[in-house]
Amino acid sequence: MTPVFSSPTLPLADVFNASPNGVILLQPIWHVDGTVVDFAFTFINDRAFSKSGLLKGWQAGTTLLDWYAGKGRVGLFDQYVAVFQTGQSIHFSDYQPDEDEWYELTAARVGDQLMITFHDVTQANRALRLMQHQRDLLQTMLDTSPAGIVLYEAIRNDEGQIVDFRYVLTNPTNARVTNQSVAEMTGQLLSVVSPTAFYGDFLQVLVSVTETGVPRQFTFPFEGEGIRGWFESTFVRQADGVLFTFLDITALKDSEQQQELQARLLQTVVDVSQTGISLYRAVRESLPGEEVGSIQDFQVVLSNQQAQQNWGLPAEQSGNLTALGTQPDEPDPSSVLDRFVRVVETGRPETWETRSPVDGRWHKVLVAKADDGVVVASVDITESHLYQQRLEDANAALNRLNEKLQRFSAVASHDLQEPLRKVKFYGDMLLHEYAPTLTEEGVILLKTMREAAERMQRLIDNLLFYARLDAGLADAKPVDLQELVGQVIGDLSLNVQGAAIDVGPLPTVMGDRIQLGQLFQNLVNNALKYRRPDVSLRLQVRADRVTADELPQLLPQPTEPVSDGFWRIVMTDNGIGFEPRHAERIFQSFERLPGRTVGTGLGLAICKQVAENHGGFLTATGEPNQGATFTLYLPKATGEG
Amino acid sequence: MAYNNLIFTADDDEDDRLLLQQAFQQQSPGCQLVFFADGDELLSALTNTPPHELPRLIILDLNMPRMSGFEVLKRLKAHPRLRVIPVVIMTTSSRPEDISLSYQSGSSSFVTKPASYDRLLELVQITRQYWFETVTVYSEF
Repeated sequence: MTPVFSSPTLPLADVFNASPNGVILLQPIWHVDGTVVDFAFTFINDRAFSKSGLLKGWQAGTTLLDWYAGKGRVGLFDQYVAVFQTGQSIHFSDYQPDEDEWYELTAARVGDQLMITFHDVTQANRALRLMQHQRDLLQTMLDTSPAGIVLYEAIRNDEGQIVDFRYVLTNPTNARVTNQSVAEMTGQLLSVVSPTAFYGDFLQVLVSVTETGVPRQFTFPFEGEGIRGWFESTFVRQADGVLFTFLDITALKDSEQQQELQARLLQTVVDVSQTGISLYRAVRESLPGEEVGSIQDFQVVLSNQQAQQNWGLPAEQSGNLTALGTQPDEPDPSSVLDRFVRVVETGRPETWETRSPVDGRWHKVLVAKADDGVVVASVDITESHLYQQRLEDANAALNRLNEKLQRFSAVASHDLQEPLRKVKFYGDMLLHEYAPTLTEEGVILLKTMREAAERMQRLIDNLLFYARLDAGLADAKPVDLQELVGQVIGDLSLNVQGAAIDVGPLPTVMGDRIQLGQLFQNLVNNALKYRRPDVSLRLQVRADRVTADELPQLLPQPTEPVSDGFWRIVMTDNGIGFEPRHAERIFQSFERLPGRTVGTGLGLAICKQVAENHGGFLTATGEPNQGATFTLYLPKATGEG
Repeated sequence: MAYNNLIFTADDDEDDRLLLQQAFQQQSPGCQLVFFADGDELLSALTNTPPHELPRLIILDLNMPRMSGFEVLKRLKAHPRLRVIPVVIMTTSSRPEDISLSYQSGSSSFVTKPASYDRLLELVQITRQYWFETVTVYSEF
C-alpha cells in the first residue's frame, strides 16, 4: 500500500501500515491568535484507506472540517482540539450513519500531531445487537406467555446419573401458578422449589425426556406446595435438560367436570324416572342458502331406559323415527310423524293415550317442542286405564241392572197388581152379592182371603215405593212437617183412638212431601203396630236444632259441609220397644225382629231411605217393654225459619 | 147436532170389559159402550167412523198387547179429527211415571182400576156425570 504522501520525517509509516488498525495523523492548523481552527491530514495508513467508505470524499489537501462538511456532520472536531490541547487521550465509539459502520477510536496527541487509531467493530456490534434483540424477544415472550415455561438443566452426579434439575429460567406465569417469584426459582433446584414434583412422577418424566430426547405431551393433575389444578403440558429436551411448558386448565377442567357431573346426574335422574323420556331432532330437507327445508323425519337424540323399554328405542342414540317402525305409536308410525311435525310447527304440545306394541301397555304420551325437535314423555297408565275400563264396565252393568229394575217396576205395577186386583174384586163381589148364601164360616174364609189380598197389595205398594226411592229427590219443595204429621195422624184417626199423641212444634224443611209423608206414616204405623196391649199408647214428636258436630259419632258424616246444621226430630213411644242390639237390623228391608209377623218388612227401610234421600239420617234406640225412640236428622236448608 | 151417548173402550182384559159393561148397565144404562180388544182395532174403527157416529169419550187401558195405550193416545192426539175426543186412561198401574206420561200425551183423565165393585160403580157414575152432564165437549167433528 502506497501512502498518499511519503513522510520522510516519519519513519514509522511502515510500522503503521502494518497495523491491523486504521491510523490517521492530523496536523493542527493554527490561527494567528494561537487557536487550532482545523486539522490537516498528514498520514493515512493502508488499513484506513481500505475502509473506502470511511474516507469517502477525502482528497489530498482536504482538511478535517472540509471532510466533515462533505459528510454533512459535526464530527469530533472539538474533542480532537481538546485532546490536542490537554494531551489527554480519549477512547470512544463512533457511528458512521452513511456507512452504517461502528468504529472504536482512540485519539491521542503524539508530539505536535494528533494520532487517531481506530478499528471497525461493526460486525461485532451487529452480532451483539442481534443477540440483545433476541434476548429481549425471548424475555418478552417469557413475560407475556399465557403458558408457564421452565427450562430445566439436568444435575448429574459423578456417575453421570441425573440427580436433580436446576431452574435455568422460568416466567411470571409459572411464578403465578406456583406462588413463587421468578427470581426465587431461577437457579434453584427442583428438589428445593417443588419437593412434590421432585419426589413424584414429574421428575421421572424430566429424566426420561432428557435421556431419550422423546418429547412428551399430556394433561395431568397436580397437587402440592399449595397448588391444586390441572395442567396441559409439553416436555421437550433442551441441551442437557428439558423445556417444560404448560397451560393451567384447572378452570376449564373444573367446568368440564362440573358439566360431566351434571350430565351424569341428569342421566341418572332421567334413567330412574318412571316416565319414558326421549328427545328427537327434526331431520329437514336440505335446501340451498338460508332456506329452512320441510321436516322429513325425526332422529332420536336421547332416550332414557324407561323409553327404551316402553317403545323399543335403541340404547345407542341413532335411528330415525320412521325407520324405528314400532314406535312410539301404533298402528301407523306416519300419524306420529304428522303429530311431531305439527308440534314443531305450531309449538303447541299434544297428548294422547296409546298402547305400545313393544310392552303391550297403555301410555299417556305428551309431546312438546324442544328446539328444532320434540321431547316426548310417556307415562304408563295401564293401571288407571284398566281401572277406568273396570269402572266403565261396572257402570254399564249397573245401568243394565237399573234398567232391569225399572222394567221390573213397570211390570210389577201392572202384572203383579192385575191378578191381585181381580182376587180382591171378585172376593168383594162374592161378599156383597153372595154373602147370604154362604155359611158364617164361608164368610170368615172369604174375609181372611180379602185381608191377605190387602196385605199383598200393601207389600206391592211398598215395594214399588221403595224401588222408586232409589231415584232420590227429584224436586225439593218446602214441606211443613207440623201440618204433614198432623195429616198423617188424621188419616190414621180410627187406629189411633185412645192414644195420647203429642206433636211438638215442627219445622218446615225442604223435601219431597210424598216421601216424607210415607216416612211419618210408617213411623206412626210402627208405633201403633208395636204398642203394648195392656198400656195405652203414648207418642211424642219433638224437634230441635243441632250442629253438624253434634251428630252421633256412629253416623256417616255428611260429605258436604252442612253449615246450617240439622233438624233433629225425635219420635218416642211407650210400646214394646226392642233389644238395643237390633238397632241397626230393624232398618234392613225384609227384616223383622223375632216374633213380629205383622207388616211388610219394608216400612223402616223406606223411612231410612227417605231420610237419606233428604241428606239426613234416621236412628233408633229402644229397650224391650220400655218403648222405642226414632231420631230423624234432616239438614236445615239455608234461609229456613 | 145431537150428542150421542157413545163410549169407545179399548181393553185387552176380558174380565174388565165385562165388569165395566155390567157397571155401566147397572149405573148408567143410557151410555152405549163399544169394546175393542186392543188399540189397533180401536184406531181403525175410529178412522172408519163417520163424524156424527164418533164417540163422546174414549176409555183406554195402558197395558195392551201389540200397541200400548200410550201409543194409541199419541196417535189419537195427532189425528186432526180424533184429537178432540176426550180420553180417560183406566189402568191397573198407579205408577207416577205412567200418570205423568198419560197427561203429557194428552189424556183428559187418569183412573186406576178400582179393586171393588162398589168403587167401580162409583167411578162409572162419576164418569158419566162428569163427561156427559157436567162438561161441554167439542161436538163439531
